[in-house]
Amino acid sequence: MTDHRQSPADVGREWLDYAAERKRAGRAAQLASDYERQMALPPESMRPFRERMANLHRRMEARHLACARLHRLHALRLQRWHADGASGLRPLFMAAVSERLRTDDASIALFDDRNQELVFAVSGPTARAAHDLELTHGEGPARDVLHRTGPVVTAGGDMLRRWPRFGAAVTALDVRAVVAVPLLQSSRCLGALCGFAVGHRLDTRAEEQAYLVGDALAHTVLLAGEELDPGSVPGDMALSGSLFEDADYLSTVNQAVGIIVAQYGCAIDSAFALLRARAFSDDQPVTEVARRMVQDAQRLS
Amino acid sequence: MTNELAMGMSDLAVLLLSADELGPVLDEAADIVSRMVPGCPATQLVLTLDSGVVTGFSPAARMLRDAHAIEDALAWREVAQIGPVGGEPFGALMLYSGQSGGFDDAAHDAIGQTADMLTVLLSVAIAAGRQAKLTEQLHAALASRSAIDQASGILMGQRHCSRDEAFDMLRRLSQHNNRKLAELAVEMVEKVGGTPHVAPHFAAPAAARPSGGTAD
Repeated sequence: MTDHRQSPADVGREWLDYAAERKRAGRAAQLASDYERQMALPPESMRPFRERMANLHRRMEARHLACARLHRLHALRLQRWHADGASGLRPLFMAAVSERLRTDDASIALFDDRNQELVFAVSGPTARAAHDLELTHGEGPARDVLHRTGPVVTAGGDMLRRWPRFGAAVTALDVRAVVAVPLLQSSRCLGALCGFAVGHRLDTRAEEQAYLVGDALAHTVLLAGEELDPGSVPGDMALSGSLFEDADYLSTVNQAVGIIVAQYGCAIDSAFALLRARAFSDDQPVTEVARRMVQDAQRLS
Repeated sequence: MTNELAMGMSDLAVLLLSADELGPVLDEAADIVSRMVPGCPATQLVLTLDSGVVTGFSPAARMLRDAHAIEDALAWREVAQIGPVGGEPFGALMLYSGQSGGFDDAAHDAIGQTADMLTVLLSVAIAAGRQAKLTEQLHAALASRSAIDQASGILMGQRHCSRDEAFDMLRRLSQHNNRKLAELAVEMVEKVGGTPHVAPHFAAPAAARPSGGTAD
C-alpha cells in the first residue's frame, strides 16, 4: 500500500478512513464466515440463529466495503488533483458516489419529518441544476423517495408522466434516466440519494449499487461527525468529513424564508410556499430568488 | 448443545437486535440466559454503556437482591466476561447456582457459549445504539443551522441589516442571556411566525423495504 504519510492532509484522511473501513469489513467477514461454517454443524435447532447472524455480518461487511471504496476513489481523485498542482476545481466526495452508482451525476439530500430540506450535496452541475429544479417545483426523485420510502427508477416518457414540470426541465438538461433510493438508518429515513444518467440509459446495476452506496452513506459517512460538549454552537455535533465540507446548507434559502417571515408574520412552511410561488411567477429557481432577496435586504442596510 | 441453549440464543438475538435501547430489555435478557443454563440459576447481566452501567436481573436474581441475599450467594457465583478476546470487556454475566457444589461441566460449557454469543449480539446492538444517537445529533446540528439562518433572515427583514450584522446580533443575544444560539433562533422564528415550535426529527419508520436492501 502507498505510504501516505507525506500526502496532503485531506488525502491522508481519506486513506485512513479507507483503511479503517477495510478493517471493519474484515472483522465482519470473519464473523460471517464463522457462522456460515457452523450452519452445517449440529444441532439443527441452531441453524436459524447461525444463518441470521451470518446474514447480518455479511450485510455489515458489504456496508463497510462500499464505504471503503468511496474513500479510496475520493483519495485517488484528490491525489491526482494535488499532483496536478491543485489547479481547477477540487474533487468532490459526491463524484466518488456518482462513479460508484455508475451514473453521470449524483446528489444527496437530507430532510426532516416535515419534509424540510436540511442539507444537500452534489457531484456536478447537472445534479445541482436538478436539485434546484426539484426544490423549485416541489416534485422530483428525492421527494418521491421520501413519500414512498421506496426506490425510484425512471426514464424518458415515464419521467414526464411522473413529474410533469421537473421531468420536462431535467429532460432539457439531457437527463435520460434517474435512480433514487431512500437513505435508511435503523428505523429512520434520513433523506434520498439520487443518480442521473445524461445522454444515455441507466446502467443495469444502478439500483443495486444505489442501495449499497446509500446504506454506506446512511450508516457511516453521514455519521462521521464529532460529538461536542452540550453547550457548543451550533448543534451537538461538529459536522465533519469530506461530504459535509462540500455540502450546501441552504443558508441563503433559509435566510430568505426568514425575511418573508419578518415581512408577513407567517410560519416557516408558509414562508417556503411564498418563496416557491415567487419563483414560479418569476420563472426562476428558488435558489436564485432567495439570493436576490437576501442581496436586496442587504442593500437596504 | 442443548435445545434450551439453541432456543435461548434465537430469543436473545430477536430481543437484543430489535431493541431501541438496551437498558429496558436487560431484565428479559437475564431471564432468557437463566433458562439457557442447566439448573436455571439466578442471573445478573451487567453492561457498561456510554450512558453508564446498567444491570438486568432474572426474577430469581431480583429476589436475591431484594432480600439482600446476594452476598450470601457469592460462594456459588460464576462470572463470565462479555467482550472481545484480548480486548476491553464491556459487560459481565453473574450466575448464582442454587445447588451445593456450584455449577457442573455442562453448566460451565453453556455459560461460556452464552457469554461468547452475547459478546457478538451486544457489540452489534451497542453499535446500533451509537448510530441512533449520532443520527439524532446530526439532525440537531442541521436543524440548528437552519434555525439560525432563518432567524438571521428575520433580523435582516426587521432591522434592514446585513447577514453578518444579523448573526452578530444573535450571537450577542446568546452570550448576554447565556443561552444557546440555536435555542434563541428557534424561539425567534416561533415568536415572529406565530407558530409553536415542534422539534422535528428524521422521518418515522419506513414502509416495507424492497428485497435486496441492506438495511438491518
